[in-house]
Amino acid sequence: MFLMQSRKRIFSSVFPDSDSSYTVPTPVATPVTSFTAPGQSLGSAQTELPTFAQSSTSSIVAEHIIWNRAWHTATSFLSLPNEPITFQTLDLGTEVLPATWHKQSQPEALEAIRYLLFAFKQSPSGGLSNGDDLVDWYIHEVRMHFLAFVRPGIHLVRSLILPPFEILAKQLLRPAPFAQKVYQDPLSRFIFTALELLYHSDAARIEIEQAESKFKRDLHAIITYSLPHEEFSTILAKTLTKEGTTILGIASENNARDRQANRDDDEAFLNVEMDMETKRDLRTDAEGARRLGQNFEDNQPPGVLEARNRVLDIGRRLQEVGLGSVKGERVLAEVMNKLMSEYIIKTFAGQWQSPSTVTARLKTWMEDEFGRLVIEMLNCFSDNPEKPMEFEEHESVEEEQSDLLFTFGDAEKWSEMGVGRLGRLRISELFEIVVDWDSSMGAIEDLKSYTTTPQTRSYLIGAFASVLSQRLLHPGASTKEILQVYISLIRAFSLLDPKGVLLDRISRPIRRYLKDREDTVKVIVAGLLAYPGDEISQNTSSATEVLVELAVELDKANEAGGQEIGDTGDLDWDDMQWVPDPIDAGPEYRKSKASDVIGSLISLYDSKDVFVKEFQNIMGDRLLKKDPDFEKEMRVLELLKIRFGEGALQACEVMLRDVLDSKRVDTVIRADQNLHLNKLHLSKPATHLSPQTPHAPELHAKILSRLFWPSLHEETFAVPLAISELQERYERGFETLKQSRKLTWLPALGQVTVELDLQDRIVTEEVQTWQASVIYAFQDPDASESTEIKRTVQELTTQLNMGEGLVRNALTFWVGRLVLKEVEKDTFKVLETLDQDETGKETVEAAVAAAAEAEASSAVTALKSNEEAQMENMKVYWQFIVGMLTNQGAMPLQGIIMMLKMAVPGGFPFSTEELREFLSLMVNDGKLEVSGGNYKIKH
Amino acid sequence: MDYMMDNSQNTAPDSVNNVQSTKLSTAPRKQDTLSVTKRLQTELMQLMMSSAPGISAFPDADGNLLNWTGTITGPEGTYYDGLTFKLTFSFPNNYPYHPPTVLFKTPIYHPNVDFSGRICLDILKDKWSAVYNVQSVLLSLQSLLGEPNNASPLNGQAAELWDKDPVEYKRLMLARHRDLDEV
Repeated sequence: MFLMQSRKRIFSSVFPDSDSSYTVPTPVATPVTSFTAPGQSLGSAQTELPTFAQSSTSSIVAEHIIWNRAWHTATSFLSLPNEPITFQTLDLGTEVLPATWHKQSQPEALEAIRYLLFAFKQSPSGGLSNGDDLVDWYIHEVRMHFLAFVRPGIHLVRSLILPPFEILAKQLLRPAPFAQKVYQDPLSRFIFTALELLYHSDAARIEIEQAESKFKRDLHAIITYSLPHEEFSTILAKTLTKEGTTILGIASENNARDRQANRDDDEAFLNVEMDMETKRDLRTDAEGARRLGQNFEDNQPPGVLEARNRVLDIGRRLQEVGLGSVKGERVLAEVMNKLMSEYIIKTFAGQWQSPSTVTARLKTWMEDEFGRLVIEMLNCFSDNPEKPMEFEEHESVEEEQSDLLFTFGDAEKWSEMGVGRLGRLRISELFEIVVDWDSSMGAIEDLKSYTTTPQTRSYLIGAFASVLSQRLLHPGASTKEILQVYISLIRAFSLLDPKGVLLDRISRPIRRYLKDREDTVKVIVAGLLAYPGDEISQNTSSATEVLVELAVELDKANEAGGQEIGDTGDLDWDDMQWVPDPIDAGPEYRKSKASDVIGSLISLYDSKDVFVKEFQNIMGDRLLKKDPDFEKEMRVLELLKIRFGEGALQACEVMLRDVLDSKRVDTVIRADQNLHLNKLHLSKPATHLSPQTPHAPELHAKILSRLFWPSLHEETFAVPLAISELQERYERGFETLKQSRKLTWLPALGQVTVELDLQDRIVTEEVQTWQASVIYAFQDPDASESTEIKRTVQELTTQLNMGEGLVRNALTFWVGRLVLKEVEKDTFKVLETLDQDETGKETVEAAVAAAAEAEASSAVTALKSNEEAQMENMKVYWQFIVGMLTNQGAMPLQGIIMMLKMAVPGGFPFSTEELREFLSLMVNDGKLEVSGGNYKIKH
Repeated sequence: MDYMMDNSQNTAPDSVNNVQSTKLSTAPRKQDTLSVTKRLQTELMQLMMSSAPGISAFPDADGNLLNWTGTITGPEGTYYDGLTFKLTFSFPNNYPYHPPTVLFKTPIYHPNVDFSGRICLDILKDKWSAVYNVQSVLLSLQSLLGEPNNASPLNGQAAELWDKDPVEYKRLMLARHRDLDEV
């Protein structure tokens, strides 16, 4: 015996097995009866040999011999053919095996198996292995075969032109389960039948189940092991994605809509059906639901049912070969996750209608489509597919809760995820949503259900702020656009978050940016004063630049009752409704800012003076125009008073009153001085200057209180004699009416209606005063009709005592009106007749060019331009600079600008560069000197 | 009396009350500082706009507007004709209800100014009123240069010499004067 053992050791060291505890089956050629020595059979070395003491009796030896013989017979019978399972047969659909695989039962083999399984167990010594070992051996056999013949087929090469589904099917889903079936066949046919015969039915079942599950587990382990992991995941994911896209209706939006419509009908039907079902035992409910599902499928677009079947088939097959719960679930989770995002993006992007049905639709989808697919798939992956996993319908039945793999809570979680995805989508669209505001209200409603936690809110703020700075707050966007977006933003966010925290945080960068823009104030004030309506195009040259919305908003706010805008910055200690600021509110957060568009804009700047000043400027411009009444201005003024307070707008009020008073005073003076010679023209409140008309010109004046008006153009020039006479009389009239007051004429302001009686035509124009004066100068009462009157720019400048700029402006204007013609450089003559010849053509061309030029330069308004006013201001700052340098000694440029920023009320509006320029101007004037970068007053 | 410690030369005689009122007014201090700043800013604006000859002042670069430097040019027809004097203003938190502390930075020989630059002027002490401002203080000081109050001198010698010995006065005065810029 020792000898045998050592021999065996030597033998196995020379011919090592892959697994030393098993052997290959004994070749068929070996005669069954040929072995002479006990335990020497080739196939017998699988167990530990009995010890010396145990094997002392010969009966044990005999048992061994029998056992070995049986083992040999069984294994050679069960051993798998040494060839691949032929797949060609599979393609026919009928699973016919080649003859080598189809084993005919042989009585002696069955006998041997039965012996190994059972009879041996009854043996008294019992030291040898039993039937389990036969199963083990078979599993080993299968493993070897699988690795040798099936595995090479499962390489899942992606390079094939086949679609992923085909690859998956051909290389894995067909061969693997089939191989499994083939392997399992002998096991169940021979071994299990034998077991069933031997044991009582119950015991046999247990035995069989154990053996079968062991077999399956092992086989699945081999399959899993032999898969190329990455390829398998990718291909499965691709397949699932493709089919899932079809099933979940992601493919096209129209599709989804159609189905939405269908669903409504279905649901009604479903409800009726459900009522009926509930009367029955709840257990059959699932049955009913499944039948309904069948109905359901009938209504679905073509392809969906097939896709669903395909997917479920894949799932089932995967589970069959043990890939479902391990790998399939993970891939499924990834795919479903992706599909959810995709569906939401494809279906809901850009759907911003209000009231929003998106959330509801999403929830329905999540439950009916998404949830269903997930459950069905997981059903396939579960170990006992016979027991259906219900979802939701049984949710009310508590005793069943524990059995369910999916509860209502899961569905809730999915819905939440869906809402989260939707929120992210909306946030990525938020800029467009805000820009499209009003028609995009639904999107904000969607977002509302998303921004419920601090995390999502801060995500929204972060994401949107970066979009804003990227898309809006750059020099390419006009101030008007930015304001427009800001207004929409205020409205949208006050719906999204009535507390105003989000708005407060989001609007900070915008506000900061707007503050830096030079024309912000102008745009806002112009917007406030705009005419909501069609008049706008007439009143402003650049209608597109006016935010009419602001005017509308102002009216609206007024109608709403003009809420109290007393933001003193202090807490109202008596406010019993006080609640703490929301947790994510920034510092300096103020609730009142929330929805008040005008208030938000006005509070852009620390002081309201900026607005008041701008308002004054625009008011001044408007009031000096020839407008019979200023209803709109008065109204706006009243509305703004509510916001700015009476005091701030006092100047504006005085201005308005000036103009209105002037009208009255004007009438009185004219009556006193008998100025209204021609009553026909009384209604025209402007100076009539019609040189060749019989009636004398008319003069109306507006009397302004100088102190309250913004800086005005004060250029003077000689007005025509007729006018200056009128002015004198008017002045006298005024001085008698208002004693101790004096009139100072501002000839540059005002409007003139000019009627020019030329040889072949009469030209009537409404023009500026200087333009009238210039054209008047071309009149020469003494000259006869035939002589041509020529004037040069030089002459006009001296004669009228007018700046060259104005003269040129006026000349260009008249050339543009085809009244004057530039005969040679800087010399003009009156175009008494419009020639028809070629010179006329030339004239017209020149006129067109001149007209364009005049248009461009007509920006010369009554009020001083910004730059002029700023230079004026610079004089004020000069005082500061002198004071500073006198007292603080020499200072560098940076120091000066820093001090100015601190000391000048309202801040110092100039840049370092501008200041440097100004200071160097002063150095040139000898008022300052520079030494070592420091500026110093020169004594 | 320790001059170095005594930084309250301008305080009114009822300084105890003063201290108390200061204490009382510390509560709404922030508010005060704001209004003080605003007031000083307005005063600065006025001063810059008025351009009265011979006087000027401007805040120091410390950023809170509570410390200023002033400049006075000696009025014509006085000993100080053509000389410039620098002053420091330091405003209390309850300005203008309390006077600023004003000191001559430029060494000056004057009956009502001691050698540390402290000034004896009634409107800087008990006669202070909220209607005074930097400009009026500067103007008062300018006129003080020409018309000292020799009855209550801080510099007895100067008071004595003022009328008695103009030549000696001028010599001592010029000896003491130094332009700060040149230092």
